[in-house]
Amino acid sequence: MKRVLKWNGRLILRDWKTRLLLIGFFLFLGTFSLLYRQQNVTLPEMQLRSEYSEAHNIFRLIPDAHFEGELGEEVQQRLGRNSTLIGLNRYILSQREGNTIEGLEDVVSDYLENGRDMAENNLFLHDATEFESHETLTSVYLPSRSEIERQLAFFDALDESGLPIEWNPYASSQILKQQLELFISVVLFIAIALLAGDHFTKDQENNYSVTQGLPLPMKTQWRGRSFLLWLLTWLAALLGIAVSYGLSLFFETTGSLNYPVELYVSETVTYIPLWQYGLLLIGLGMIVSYLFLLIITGLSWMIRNIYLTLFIVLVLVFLPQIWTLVEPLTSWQPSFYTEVVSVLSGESARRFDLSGIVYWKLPIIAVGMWLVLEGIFHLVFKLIPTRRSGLKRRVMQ
Amino acid sequence: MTLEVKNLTVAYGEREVLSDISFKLKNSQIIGLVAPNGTGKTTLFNAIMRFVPVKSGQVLVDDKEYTAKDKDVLALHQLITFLPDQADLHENFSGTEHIEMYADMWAGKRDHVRDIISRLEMDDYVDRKVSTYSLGMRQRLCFAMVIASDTPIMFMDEVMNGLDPENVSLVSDILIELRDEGKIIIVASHLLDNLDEYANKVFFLKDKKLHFIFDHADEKIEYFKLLCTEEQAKYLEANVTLPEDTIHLGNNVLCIPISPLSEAEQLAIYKHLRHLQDVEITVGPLGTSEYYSHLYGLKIHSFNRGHQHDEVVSQ
Repeated sequence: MKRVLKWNGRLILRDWKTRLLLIGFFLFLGTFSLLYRQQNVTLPEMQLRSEYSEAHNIFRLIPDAHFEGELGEEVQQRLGRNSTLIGLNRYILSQREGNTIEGLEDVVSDYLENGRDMAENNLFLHDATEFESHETLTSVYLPSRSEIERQLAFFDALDESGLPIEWNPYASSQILKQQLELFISVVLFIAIALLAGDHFTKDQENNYSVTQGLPLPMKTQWRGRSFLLWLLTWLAALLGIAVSYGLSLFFETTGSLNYPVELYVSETVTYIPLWQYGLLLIGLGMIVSYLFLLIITGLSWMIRNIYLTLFIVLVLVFLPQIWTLVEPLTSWQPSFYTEVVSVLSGESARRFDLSGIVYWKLPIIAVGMWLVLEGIFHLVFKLIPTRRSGLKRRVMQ
Repeated sequence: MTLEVKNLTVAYGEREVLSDISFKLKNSQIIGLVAPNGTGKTTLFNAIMRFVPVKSGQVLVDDKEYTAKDKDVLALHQLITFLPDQADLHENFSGTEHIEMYADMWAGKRDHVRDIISRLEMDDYVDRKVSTYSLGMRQRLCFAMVIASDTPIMFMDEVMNGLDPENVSLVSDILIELRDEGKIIIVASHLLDNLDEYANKVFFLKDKKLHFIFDHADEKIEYFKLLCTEEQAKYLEANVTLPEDTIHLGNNVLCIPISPLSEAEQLAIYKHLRHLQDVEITVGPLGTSEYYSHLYGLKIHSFNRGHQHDEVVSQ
């Protein structure tokens, strides 16, 4: 393995295509945060205006008689309070001061606290099933229960970290999150496919007699070369991401790496700090990308046509879409886990209606897939990549 | 160390290329492998190395069979190196890196690399990138790579390609040194006379078979070897009684065995030769090139020194 890493490492780094790809890849990621400069921060004023109007309309939709009695009065009070809180939050946002208005903290309460109060009120309204117009409330006014619970969890997480709401989506930490998500879901696959799509093909096409007959097991070469490409990809990527984050610290508000990010876990949503989310994305991305590299380099050994290899990789990346047409049988379906970001956010679980699509299954499935790939390529590498006649069995029967 | 090939048959689809090839080689031997283009020399190397499918047959080293199983193929590749094709070199690597790579891969050491470079007189260019090399430089590099691998068995396919006479001589000398170190070397080459300088035996492939083995250790018969035109050969036959086992090689070489001839008969032949224009005569046993002409019916179509239409006998 040491010899594979040493000599193939040199060969890869001497190759101009690889160099240009890695440099381009680094530059793209390194300047990512600069692309988002000079953009206007849009506060959710429009959204609040709509909520404010809904909060008023609900009083017109519910007959006055329904607000009578202890429960009715409580509901009316909570709806009224919500309306006031929305109004307060609109005012806070209109001052463009963020979460509070300096000097008026005693008069104008905290945006965050208001949000929490509203969420708690909404939860109460959800539970008030005895209320006569409860159906109207749920169908017209209230967000879903899970959404409210998510909001509360989010406010709790903010509280725990002692952070305000981040209004600047272009803050360094927020850009970092967006960049990581874009990288893990799209850019990574493009990079590794372009890097590895013709890796062994180049050997077979241009350096056949120099590389055939090396006293190294084919599987060792396959694993070693995949690892090298994986290492180079991730070095360029992490360096680029770090540079981009560093640049954005100069040009934007920093944001916080402790800012809570949604994580889907077993039918519920929990919030974890952004840095943990980032590490999770990178870790899972590393696992998925290594498996993909094993597939791509293996295919490049079998197929001497980079376009066909890239096409097959594309099919594999988009394979999960098939489960929107065909009934998926189980959440252990490996193809779900190519979409790391969707798995983490619970988007996959919602889209495929399988609550079991959770991130912790990914490493387990990855081990299974790795064993399957080892098995498949154990058989494939028994063939001979002849100079001109493609793959052949070693003994003709 | 021994290398044995037993009943090796290779086919591309339905077309058989080599059929039932068998031989056994001991260490300290150089074998010349000779045949016209497309008759299976490279295929024989490829088949032994398992670079092409084999229909049947066995490859044994030191009487141990190396089958088509992964483990055996890998073990075989640790024992045999195959001269790379100069077009297949890594253009972005230097010559030194190529040699070091092969030394590292097979021998697991690199301390002999500089000696090889000096021995092959490559010092002045070997640290430059391969993309700047001429054909001969690349060929020497390929040869150096195989030497650096230091395997007990070496296959040298067209090793003299693109080399000038000085380098042909240099490579030949090193082949002899390698043989003296105990290696088994098979050299496929079209430089037939050069093969006679170092090969212990020459294998001739014909009609898919190992048709004939010319062993330099066998007792040899001396011949007058005449390079002449067909007309000149006919003239001689008409004027001198030649021994029965005189051989016509192609259209321009006449080999007359000396041992059946008395001194007077030899003199008579010589007298006639003196009257023939532009005839070359050498004395010695048949070599690889004569066997080649004999076996493959080689005719030199371009044999024309501008005297074809002259009188057969000079005035």
